[in-house]
Amino acid sequence: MAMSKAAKLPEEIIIDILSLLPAKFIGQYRCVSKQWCNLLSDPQFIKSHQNIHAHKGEEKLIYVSWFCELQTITFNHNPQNGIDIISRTLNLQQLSNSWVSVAGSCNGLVLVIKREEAKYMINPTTLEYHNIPNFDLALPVPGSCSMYGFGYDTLSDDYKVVTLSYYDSFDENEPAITDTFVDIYSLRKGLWKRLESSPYDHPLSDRASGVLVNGVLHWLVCRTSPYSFLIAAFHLSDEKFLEVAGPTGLGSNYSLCNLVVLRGCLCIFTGIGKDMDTVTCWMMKEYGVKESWTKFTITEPNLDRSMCTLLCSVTDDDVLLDIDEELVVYNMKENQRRDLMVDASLIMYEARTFMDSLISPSFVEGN
Amino acid sequence: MASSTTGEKKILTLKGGDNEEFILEESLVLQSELLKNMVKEERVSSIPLPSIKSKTLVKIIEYLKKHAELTPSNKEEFKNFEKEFVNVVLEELLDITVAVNYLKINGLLEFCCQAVADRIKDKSVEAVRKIFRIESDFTPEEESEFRKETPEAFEGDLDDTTN
Repeated sequence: MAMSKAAKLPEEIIIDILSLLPAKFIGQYRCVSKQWCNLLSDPQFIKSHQNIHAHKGEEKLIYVSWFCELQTITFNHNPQNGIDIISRTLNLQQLSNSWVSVAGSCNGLVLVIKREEAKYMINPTTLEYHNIPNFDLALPVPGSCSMYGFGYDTLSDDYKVVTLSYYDSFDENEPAITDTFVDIYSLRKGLWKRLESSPYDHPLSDRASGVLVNGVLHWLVCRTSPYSFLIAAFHLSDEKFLEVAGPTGLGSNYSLCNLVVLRGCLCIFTGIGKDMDTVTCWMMKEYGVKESWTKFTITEPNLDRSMCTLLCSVTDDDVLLDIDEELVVYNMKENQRRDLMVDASLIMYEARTFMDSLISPSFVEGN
Repeated sequence: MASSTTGEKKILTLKGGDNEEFILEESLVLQSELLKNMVKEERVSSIPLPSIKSKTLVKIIEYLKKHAELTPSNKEEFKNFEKEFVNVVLEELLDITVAVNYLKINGLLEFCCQAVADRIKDKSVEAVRKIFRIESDFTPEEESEFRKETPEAFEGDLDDTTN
């Protein structure tokens, strides 16, 4: 090859530079050359790319729109110190838009549910997707309720999907089965297995998917005797439930509460407070430390008698709220809402944050 | 070694690719792992660096001087200097990056790689090939097939310039 004026970059620097590129730019560079294609598809590169970008905290939101489409939202800071919201509809080739909910997100992979409980693992950045087969022992649909969870188990370097399901209709002539079945799917092995039934009651709500913090999936659950609420924590490595102590100030009634992750911390919030224009939220600043639960409130005249959901943190001081299906960014420092340029259509069911990554959803042995 | 007493600073000469000589304090070059080892092990007073253009070497010495003066109070000023430092044409930035990698100046290498990444992220495939001087070994058929398979995951228009 003819030498030109500029020095030629050694491969190790090219790798360093490409690892710093945001995931969305990487795909096209696979057709620069065969060497780049191999390099950028190498699982080792994809993993180290993910590790570099995981801490940059550039989160996006993914949700199912009214039209059963998957949409993403990107937050852009504009020069007027405001935040622009840019929404985009995902176009997954060959998959029809009959999405029901977004049930979990981890390392750029998102678990989405279609009608009839069909489960897909997608990467909203690379638009790759993978169908998760149904479990032979899965409960019949209709006739049962299912909740989901999705996360990464560092110990076995595996992504796992958890379903919690129970019968919702009983034949009067048959003895009722009241178990909540816990099934787990390993992406690496491509296999389902059934674990011991859950020791808790799992109330089904609109926002029933497990909330992932610290590699642990969290659900708000009830204990039957004596009847009480608690936060159940499903550990993906040993595949067992433990409990997380909730905030003392919240009392014992979690029935109007929801879980969410803000700035990487587990939070519990009440959609409707004692004062109708206030959302109360507790944040567990240090995971597993009961004393670290810290309370804050969001007061907003618009909240009056509305259903309000905390969706995610946008910056250190801003949170995104869904107030009666309107998106509002609320600045906690100034205690007021920001003006928004919103072109997003209304949110339905659950929204999840995700980060751009190159991780492939068809994660199999050796990948 | 014996001649070096406090107050009297050791001097070192770096020779760039075009034989231009740069005289600087030895303490400055210790930021480079490569030069540090040369100075420590071989006790040399002149180091030839034929693969590095003088223009690039001037920039790097400028950085070493600024970095040596870095204190908690002039952090802001240093950040501005860093920003200006990489604000050069892309070809020059790549030269600096290659030289910094060779000299093993670790902090600066990361900074340069990030600067290159920021500059190339919205470039078209053709522009990237030119920048990295890579010739495509895909046949036109393979490439068009590839582009069809790679879904439109990208936002915005791509830049064809190589600056």
